[in-house]
Amino acid sequence: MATYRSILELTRGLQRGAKLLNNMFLQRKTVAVKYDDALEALDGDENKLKHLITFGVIIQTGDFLELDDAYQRFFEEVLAVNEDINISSVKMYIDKLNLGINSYLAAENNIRREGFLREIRHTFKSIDNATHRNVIDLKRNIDDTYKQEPNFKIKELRLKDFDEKARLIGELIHQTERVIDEQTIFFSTAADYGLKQTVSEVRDGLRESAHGLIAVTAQIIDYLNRIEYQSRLVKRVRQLKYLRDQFMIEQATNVKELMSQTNAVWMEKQPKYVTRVSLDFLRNEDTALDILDNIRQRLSKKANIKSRLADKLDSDYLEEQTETTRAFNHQELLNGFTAQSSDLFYYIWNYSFTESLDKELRLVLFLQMASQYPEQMRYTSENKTIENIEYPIIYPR
Amino acid sequence: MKYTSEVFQRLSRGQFISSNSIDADTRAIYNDIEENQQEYEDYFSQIDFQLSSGDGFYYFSRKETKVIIENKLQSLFSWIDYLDFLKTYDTAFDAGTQFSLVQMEVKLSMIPGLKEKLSQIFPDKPTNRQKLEALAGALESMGFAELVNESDGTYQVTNAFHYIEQIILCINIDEDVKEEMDNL
Repeated sequence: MATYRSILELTRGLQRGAKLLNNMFLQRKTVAVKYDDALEALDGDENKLKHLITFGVIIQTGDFLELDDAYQRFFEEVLAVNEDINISSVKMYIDKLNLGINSYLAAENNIRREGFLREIRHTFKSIDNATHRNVIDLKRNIDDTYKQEPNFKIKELRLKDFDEKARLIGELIHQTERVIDEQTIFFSTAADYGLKQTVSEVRDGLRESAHGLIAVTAQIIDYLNRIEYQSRLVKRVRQLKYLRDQFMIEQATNVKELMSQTNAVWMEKQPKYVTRVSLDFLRNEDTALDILDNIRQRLSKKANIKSRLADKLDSDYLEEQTETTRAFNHQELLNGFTAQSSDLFYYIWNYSFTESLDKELRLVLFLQMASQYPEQMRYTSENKTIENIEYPIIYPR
Repeated sequence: MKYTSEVFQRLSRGQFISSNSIDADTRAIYNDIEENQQEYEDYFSQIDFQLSSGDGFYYFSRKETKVIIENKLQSLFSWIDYLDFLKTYDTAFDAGTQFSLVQMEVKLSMIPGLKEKLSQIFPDKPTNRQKLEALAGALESMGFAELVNESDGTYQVTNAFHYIEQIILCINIDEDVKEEMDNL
């Protein structure tokens, strides 16, 4: 595989395939690019594509093309869209720093010291850059993970991982600050203006990163709490739903007690407020006339009147019908009784009615007559018997 | 107290007023209540309404019971059904979530059991779309969700949704029943 020998050569090479590289970079997460499609993106110039493959910018596997990992990582980092938080171990940075400082102190001439000083300054700078970038990346990735990861468990695992990374970044900041504070001999001997400036910049940068980190950690905890809350809620809803479907919810929970304590209005039936029209308004206001007119018109519509009329009368109700009922004319009976001489019981017992009357009815009639006209009767203490019925003798007065 | 009438209109019908409403009027009402909470409380307490607040929302409750407990349970149980459906649709369904009926309809056939849950809640509505509309209507009439886009039926969930979540979390399940269910 050929390699680029200078930046000039590299940029020229990348420039030629810029359009394709841009496409591939945008699709790096989703699909591998087909050879033919890649060729199309380069306006059919196969030489350009071959060049990129030869120099290892693009890797060909079968019919598909992918960006080389080194380039992809480079692009991601430079464009600040990387998803991996890349913290080389804290120890490595600190060791490098200490090594540089110790070498500086051990060096016997200024030229070598200059070299070490530059190295130390670079290390400081790169620690500052790394922490700063990592904090920003961390923040972005946490938000993405929380908002886009649909699976609760994975979300939680990833956030916990980020939490660990945040801890490592914090550790790096802390250790670097310790080196700055503790290596007093070095800083007093190396009274270099450039170094002082770098160190003060790094201190500021680290402080800023530390503040950012606190916010990030708080965010992670917040997100983790929210996940915990949500999963607790989901679980509770499932359980309650299950109990409800099993008709056990009232017995197995404190829901009744809870509901007896809350009187929220939303649980009530929606009220309807009916307000009557003010009579004064109807009498005195001109606008009321319009309303009345409107109502009058609505009421006078034929359909309305028809619907308020009763149905036609059934002809059966209109025909004359006769019904015969039987009644005794007590006064007439009394008149007949006073005009003769036999006693009341005998009189009623033998009276010839227009219809045939049984003994019981005659007996009832006797009792009615006797009690109804006491003034016209003379009650004796004698008794007589007809057909084993014993009766008192009552004469007309 | 600039909005006594509006507040009464909404809250006395059992609605909620949320701070994160997409409607500017509602937000203005919310802010006015927040600034003059004590005045509003005193004002409505004279007609037996108790202005209550949660995390970013207001609603009415009463000091005395006006409804029998069975009716309250029925109202609450419907929300257990709704929540069960919504949390199955999206476990992170919460205040701020946007959902569209179109999207929900697609998911009905993708998530196992989702369609059955919906049918159980609204057995008398003939189509899935109408069932979903009924659900969105229930959310909207309570002030738990607001229509963002009419054309595809996109809604946004308001802060008041936390109210129903809080109630659900307040319901304690007997320990032995809980253990039994953990095995499910």
